[in-house]
Amino acid sequence: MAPQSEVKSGAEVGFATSSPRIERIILRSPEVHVQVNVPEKKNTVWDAGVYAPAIPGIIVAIFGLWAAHELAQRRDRRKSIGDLCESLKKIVGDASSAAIDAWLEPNASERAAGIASTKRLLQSAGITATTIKRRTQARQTWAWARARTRWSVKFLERRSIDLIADVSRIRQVAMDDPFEDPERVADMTRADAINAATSTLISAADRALFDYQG
Amino acid sequence: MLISVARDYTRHPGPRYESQGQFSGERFRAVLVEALKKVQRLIVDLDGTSGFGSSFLDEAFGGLIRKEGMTRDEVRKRVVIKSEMDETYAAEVEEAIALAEPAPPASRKSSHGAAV
Repeated sequence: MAPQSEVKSGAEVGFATSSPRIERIILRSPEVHVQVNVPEKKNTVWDAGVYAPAIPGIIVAIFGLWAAHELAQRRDRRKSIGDLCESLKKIVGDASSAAIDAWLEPNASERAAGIASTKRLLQSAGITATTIKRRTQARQTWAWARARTRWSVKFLERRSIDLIADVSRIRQVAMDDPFEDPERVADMTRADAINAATSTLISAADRALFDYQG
Repeated sequence: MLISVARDYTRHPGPRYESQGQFSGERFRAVLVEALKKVQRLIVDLDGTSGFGSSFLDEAFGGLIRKEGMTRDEVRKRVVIKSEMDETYAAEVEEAIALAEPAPPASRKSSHGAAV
């Protein structure tokens, strides 16, 4: 069908004008019917597009799993550190009792067992303190971040529990000369210093654990 | 060179002086001095024993300064403490070295080859 056009002059539409002027041209296009035939595509398992709508959900689920795992791990770690601190306090208490008994024992042959026991228990305390220090030590990433940032990242950093110096102090006080001298006599004055060093360690452990657990 | 106290000396370290009992710090210092005559750098492994007394560590390591005429820097440079299980020993040895004062020259016996 040929296109139809209609041209109306200004006079025809009522304008008083001397020269005809094209006011508007109306072109009528033929009616066209377009039919688009799209072959129906069957999705396969290899089409990435099939899974696209699920990707945000998967990301959220993975993040949720990671967060739950991290929180559970952190809770377990805090509990185990708390248990280790309790264990350290008990060992140090036993060691100080053994040391005081050895100081009070006048017989050299009978206090040999007390001296050996004190050494063994203080070594256990040292090993426990070393374990606590290593397990609570800030990771190297924190040291790296702290060295490279102007702002403090300490509020994010795990506080380490370092009781090495306190255990060393107890050993020095408990096994100070002449602790192992077979010719020494019983010394009752050492108990106060040993008890003071033990109390210092116990309070330091409690404070450090409180800081660690936040 | 590595000296393991447990392997090369004893698993049960004793008191400070030889006169006080077996496996003393004084005797172990002699072992250290002999080893230092042969090598420049000595690693001392403190793991594996039943426990040290402070006096043993002080006599063995602080004694290198007090009685063997070594300087603090020399001891720190030549003697390396290895204590993986119990770090308190390394701290005590460092304190013994830091607090040791050299004895007057007349009372020293230099047996490790260092200048007095």
